[in-house]
Amino acid sequence: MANEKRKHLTPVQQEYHQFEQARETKRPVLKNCVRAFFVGGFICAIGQAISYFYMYFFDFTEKTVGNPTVATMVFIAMLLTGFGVYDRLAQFAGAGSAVPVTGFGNAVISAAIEHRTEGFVLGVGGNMFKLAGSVILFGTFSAFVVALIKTIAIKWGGLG
Amino acid sequence: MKKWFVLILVFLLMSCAHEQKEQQQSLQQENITNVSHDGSAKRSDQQHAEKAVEMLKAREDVKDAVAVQANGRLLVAYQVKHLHRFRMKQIEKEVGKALNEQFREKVIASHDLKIFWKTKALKEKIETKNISEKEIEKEITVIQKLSEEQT
Repeated sequence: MANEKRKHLTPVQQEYHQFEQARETKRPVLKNCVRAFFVGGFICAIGQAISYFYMYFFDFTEKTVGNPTVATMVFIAMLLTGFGVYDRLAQFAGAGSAVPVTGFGNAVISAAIEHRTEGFVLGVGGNMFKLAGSVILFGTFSAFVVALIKTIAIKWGGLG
Repeated sequence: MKKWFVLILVFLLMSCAHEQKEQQQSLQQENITNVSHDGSAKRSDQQHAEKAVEMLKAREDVKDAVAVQANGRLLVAYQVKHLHRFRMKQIEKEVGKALNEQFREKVIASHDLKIFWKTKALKEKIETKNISEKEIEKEITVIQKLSEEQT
């Protein structure tokens, strides 16, 4: 807590604060970062392998291979979530498994599984995008804002 | 903690391997499969293609290049070295400008890996199977269409 805020605390509160700080377990930040780095990197390496597979065996170029690769990665993540493997991976790797696009698949399917008991329409359909919906919304909206800025910069600012 | 330190150290050392050695290896492998050692098809009608490959390979940011020509069209595919890929747009512009100035043919230049593979396969076909110019042209059209594809 910031020092300025601590001044307003009563002596008892300050004492409790010290008591708490002495006993709090430290977060292993570095360890978590290293785990996230390697697991995230591994997921990306698998993605790269899949995109090379599509380029080699099908008529996709580096420019167009992104779409099928993302679809495949999300599909694999969905299967792994259904089998309960991805949850364990996420426990271990944290952001390393949440930041890549596989984390998106996991967010959709885990919400769908959770609300399965409430029925297909109101349960699965209504709650499927509870977590991933915000990702889609932010993605679409920020893309819109960036496109707007770019258009204004090109049309009026003379950029481009 | 010590275990992690050792693990990080191992990965760091692995990534510090000298790149030149790796490149030589890949080139050696290429020589086994390739008929000619430079990237252009060796035929009397492929002289401009040879020249384009020489021109591109002289650039320090280009790793490898192949070129094929047929009936007023020059298809050039090149690969940019990994760390130079940050300047991909600039390199693309420079290469396109240099090739257009040098050759009067319609230049189709691409840094795409798929186009590179396809052009290389076509070049090998030209060398080994002695296919007609019409067939080369047909294949070039297919590759050109592929290179113009958008997402």
